[in-house]
Amino acid sequence: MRVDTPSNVNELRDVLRSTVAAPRKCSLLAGGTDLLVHLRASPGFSPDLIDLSGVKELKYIEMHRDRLEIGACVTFTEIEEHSFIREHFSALARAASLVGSPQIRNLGTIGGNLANASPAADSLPPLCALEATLLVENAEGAQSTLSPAQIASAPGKNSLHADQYIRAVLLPLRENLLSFFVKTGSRKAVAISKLSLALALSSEPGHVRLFAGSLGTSPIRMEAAEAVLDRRDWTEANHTAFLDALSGAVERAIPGRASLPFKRLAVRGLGDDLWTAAKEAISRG
Amino acid sequence: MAELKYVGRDVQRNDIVEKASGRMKYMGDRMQGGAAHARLLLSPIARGRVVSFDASEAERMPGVLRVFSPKDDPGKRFNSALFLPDQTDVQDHPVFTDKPLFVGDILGAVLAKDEETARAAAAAVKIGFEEEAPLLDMEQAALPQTPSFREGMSPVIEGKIAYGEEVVPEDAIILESTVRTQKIHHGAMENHICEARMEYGGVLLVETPCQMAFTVRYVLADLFDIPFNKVRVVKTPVGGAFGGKQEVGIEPHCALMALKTGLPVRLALDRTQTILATRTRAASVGRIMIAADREGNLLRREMDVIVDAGAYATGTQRVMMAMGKKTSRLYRIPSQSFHGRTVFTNTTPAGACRGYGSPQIHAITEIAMDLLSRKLPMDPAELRLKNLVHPWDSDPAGGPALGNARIRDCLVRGMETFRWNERRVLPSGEGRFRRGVGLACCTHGNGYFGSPYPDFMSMAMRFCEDGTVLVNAGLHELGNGTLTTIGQIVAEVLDLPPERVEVSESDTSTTPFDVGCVASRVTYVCGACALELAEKLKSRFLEQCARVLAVDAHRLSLKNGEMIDSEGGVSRSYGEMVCRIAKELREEAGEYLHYKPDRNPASYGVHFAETVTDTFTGMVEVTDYLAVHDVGRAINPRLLRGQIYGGVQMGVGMALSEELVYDSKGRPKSASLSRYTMVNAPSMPNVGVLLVEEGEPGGPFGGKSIGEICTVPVAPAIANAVNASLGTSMTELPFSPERILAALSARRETNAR
Amino acid sequence: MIIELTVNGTPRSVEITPSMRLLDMLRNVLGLTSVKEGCSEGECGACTVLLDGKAVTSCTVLAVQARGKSVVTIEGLSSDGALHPIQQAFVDHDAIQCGFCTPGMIMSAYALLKHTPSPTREEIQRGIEGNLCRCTGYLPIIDAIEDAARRMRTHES
Repeated sequence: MRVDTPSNVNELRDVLRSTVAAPRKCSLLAGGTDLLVHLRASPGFSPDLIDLSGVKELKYIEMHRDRLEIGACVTFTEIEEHSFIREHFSALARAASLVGSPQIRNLGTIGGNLANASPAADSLPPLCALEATLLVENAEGAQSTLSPAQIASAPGKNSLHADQYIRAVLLPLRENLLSFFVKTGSRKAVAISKLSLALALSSEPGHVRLFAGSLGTSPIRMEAAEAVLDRRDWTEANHTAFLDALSGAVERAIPGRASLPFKRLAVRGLGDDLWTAAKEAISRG
Repeated sequence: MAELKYVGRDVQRNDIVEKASGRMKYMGDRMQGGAAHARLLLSPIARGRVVSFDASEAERMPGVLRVFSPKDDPGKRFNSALFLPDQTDVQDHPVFTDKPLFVGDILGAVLAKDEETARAAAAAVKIGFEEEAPLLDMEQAALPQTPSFREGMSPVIEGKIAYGEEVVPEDAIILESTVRTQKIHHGAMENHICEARMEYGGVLLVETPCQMAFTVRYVLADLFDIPFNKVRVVKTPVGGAFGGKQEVGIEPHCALMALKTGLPVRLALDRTQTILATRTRAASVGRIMIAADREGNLLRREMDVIVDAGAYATGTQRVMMAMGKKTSRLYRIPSQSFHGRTVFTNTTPAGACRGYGSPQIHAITEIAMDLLSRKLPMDPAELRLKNLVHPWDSDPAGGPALGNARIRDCLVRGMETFRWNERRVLPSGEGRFRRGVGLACCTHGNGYFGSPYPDFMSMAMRFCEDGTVLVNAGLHELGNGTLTTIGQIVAEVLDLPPERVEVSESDTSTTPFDVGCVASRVTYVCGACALELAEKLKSRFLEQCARVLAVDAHRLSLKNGEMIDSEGGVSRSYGEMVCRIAKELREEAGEYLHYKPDRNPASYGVHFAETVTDTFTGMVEVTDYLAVHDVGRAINPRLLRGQIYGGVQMGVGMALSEELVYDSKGRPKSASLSRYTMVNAPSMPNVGVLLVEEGEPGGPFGGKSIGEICTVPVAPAIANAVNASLGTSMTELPFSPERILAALSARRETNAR
Repeated sequence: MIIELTVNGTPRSVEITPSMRLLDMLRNVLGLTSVKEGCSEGECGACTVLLDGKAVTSCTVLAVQARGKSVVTIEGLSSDGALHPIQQAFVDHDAIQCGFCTPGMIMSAYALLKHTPSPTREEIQRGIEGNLCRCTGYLPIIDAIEDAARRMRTHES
């Protein structure tokens, strides 16, 4: 096994170019919390690795006029603790704080989480709700963008080409945006999500984005539930309608799946949490 | 109770500083130079036959020493629970098999110069199979018409314990239920590991973090036809066991490789292999009928329990019988029958696991008791109080007398501390979150006396020339405090600080026989042995001192490291007297004792739990917990509480989240810690502890067991709290979110109709 | 290949192979056997060490990723043979039974207290949520960490 350790994107692109010229089985390594576990479990499969953890251009959090940029190798701890993200993209900060354990959060990166393409990836639903864009580059430096929902082509398989890497996640700044994230797993803390919901809405009606994770390859938008929520009418009847809409969406998303009876009900708990949080935040003004 | 110096105190663990410093070395931490590394080849299929075995690619890899295949099996079968030749449990376990019976069954191994090479080479061995459909359902396995994979061996092993008249009055209130408990992984943080080598004199030396070194010796000597005195098994430091290291596991495989190659062999399993290829807690299905009168007096109880041994017999039949034996020791029930059936499925073999069947049978009986209390209706605590045994009761099924059975004290005191009467009638709530309380009573034993298996041990003890004490016994420290407890008892009798007492661990060539750190026998049996031997040693030492000083022994006493001659006004350190005894008498200041217990009293406990259940997500939080235990006398209260906290952690997992599951092909879906959900710190409730210490005759200073019993009532206490909070009658463990939501759904549908 | 890094305060040049995990390097090359392997997937925390001051599961880090960084294991906590206050607190509260999870647990506690010198019990639970223990039920461990925090604050003031 060969490990390349580029220290900047130019060196990274050099390595990637060489893997195109003389093709070899190669994987990009960021935090290692997913990839190294996979490799350990499959001793017959031992690709060369390109360690991204030293590429300085991938480790940054930067404010621009209209967006926040988060480099692909920013860790979940860094995201969780970043005051701007906590305030303006709280769904993402919250999701980051619920990934694994402190040890995993200190190592795991947002780029790695996306590229691992697990249906249970916790960063995906918030990024969908927050209208994020993934900035992808290739060995020639050519840039393209993907929506978060496009990163996974199949469960566990990302849609990147062999010479591509995620450079950054771009989050558009939107005024008066509130966002929330909830998940449920097999235990209260340090659990793979069985189901999650990410909600972003502006303090005034007209903008609601609600995505469910761990239902399919990519997060699923819950449009009917969004419509109920956007009435901003916090009555018991609407609350029930909201939860019913969520249950209905889950039923449509995973018909016949063994986990359907559980998820169609559990989503009501997550929905109830979001309802309470949104109501409280909007009333606060 | 007499004021004691060391017993009853929170004496510091003998090895805690070593562990806190990080210097403690487990077997896996030893320098690896010289040993060949082995990696097992495990079956990926649950049932079938090996039709091809191609090791050519592996053998070509540099550093690979040898590849073992089913052809290397010695041909003899073993049973991982046997420890004496007269024990007749069916021996059905090959070392390397060509007919795998579960995913994880051991087909062979690769031996290489280092671990990385062994791992890579193992992945390169190509094994071809003819697969057969596996038998996965234990109830199906119990049916006589189900074809068995047992090849000439009985597919069902039955056991029955019954007493009293098989009559139920017509007007009796009957409660019938079926309770299911799941397959559990022990979850010790240290995975299984073993080293074997040939030593001077043709001795096979096997070092293993085990609970029963003499069992390992027996199985190896029998399996490989080696004289017992040429098999030396040494116990190494253990990073957690919980019964999972009680039965013989990978020692035969490791020993076989050392025997065949003459090389020192280290065999270390990773977590997935430990989950797949060692042992589990047996899953069970219990049908139970309880008959009571209107006042709540129990009249008769019938239990029919199927226990899943998995693919091999191991100790599961013993576990099944042990379940049955518990059922006559908690309540005064005039008539009862227990019918147990050990069955076989193509899943991971079960075996010893903390509680040895007690957690399962108490889940069955205590969940049913609560359902009965609902039917009567009656306060669940009142129902227990009406029926619990009294001190000095005998066991109507013929087991050993119960001894000073203080379960009633436990329940009464626990009810008061937990404010049971007040909390039980609080409304559970109408909204999303529902609160409830529950309790469960339990009993467990103190060793093997009264069972088919003999309980005995020997021990040697002596003063060294500096007055320190050496205890030579086949003991096993698992982190549970064996050595500290024994040390305290010895220190108490000989009156010197526990730090000056060194207690050995099991080495089958150099320590006397001891059955093992199992069956909750360490305090009651090993501790009593140590006490009696310490008294014997004290007597001898004083007698030797008397001869040296030429005075009457009655004048002499031991106090705080000094031998005192009250009349002569003289005091000498122990060490000084040992030297004089050596020089002048030419004797060692030591003694030996053969010990066998003549009774096996019961230990008891009641646990109370408060739970809050999220009826939307199915998540349960245990919000309050109280454990009350009848322990006779706490030798070391802090150690004892530590055992209780750990037992509760295991029980919460059994109640709510732990389960080894298989897909339809018998492939484990939870063969890693990310999929096998144990309780972590955020999910652990606070645990209050109350101890009832009324003394148990036969136990050292009146002490009796805690190590297993502390995990026995946890799952039913929590299950009962959840059922109380939701008004459900769930009886399948674990109460996972999926099961809770399904039960609530089902209830909504029933109500709707 | 050779990498340069600091281990327990000492600059080291260490020979590694590309596929070696940080765990393997610490245990097998440097003999720091306090770092235990419990699950091989970053779930149990027994292999927890500090990497540039942050708690990480060393079984999910490649050795080469530690180049130029500082690694601290429990061997690096005690000075002059005396136990660190966290270690001493674990001893005083009997927060250790079999001891296998202990080094990783103490490193997580150390990382927590550096970041949060006065943690609530909930913060302590969260700080050690990635460290599994099957023996102690965590309660004495939480007590020990709470006490250690107090002692360390007193010592500093």
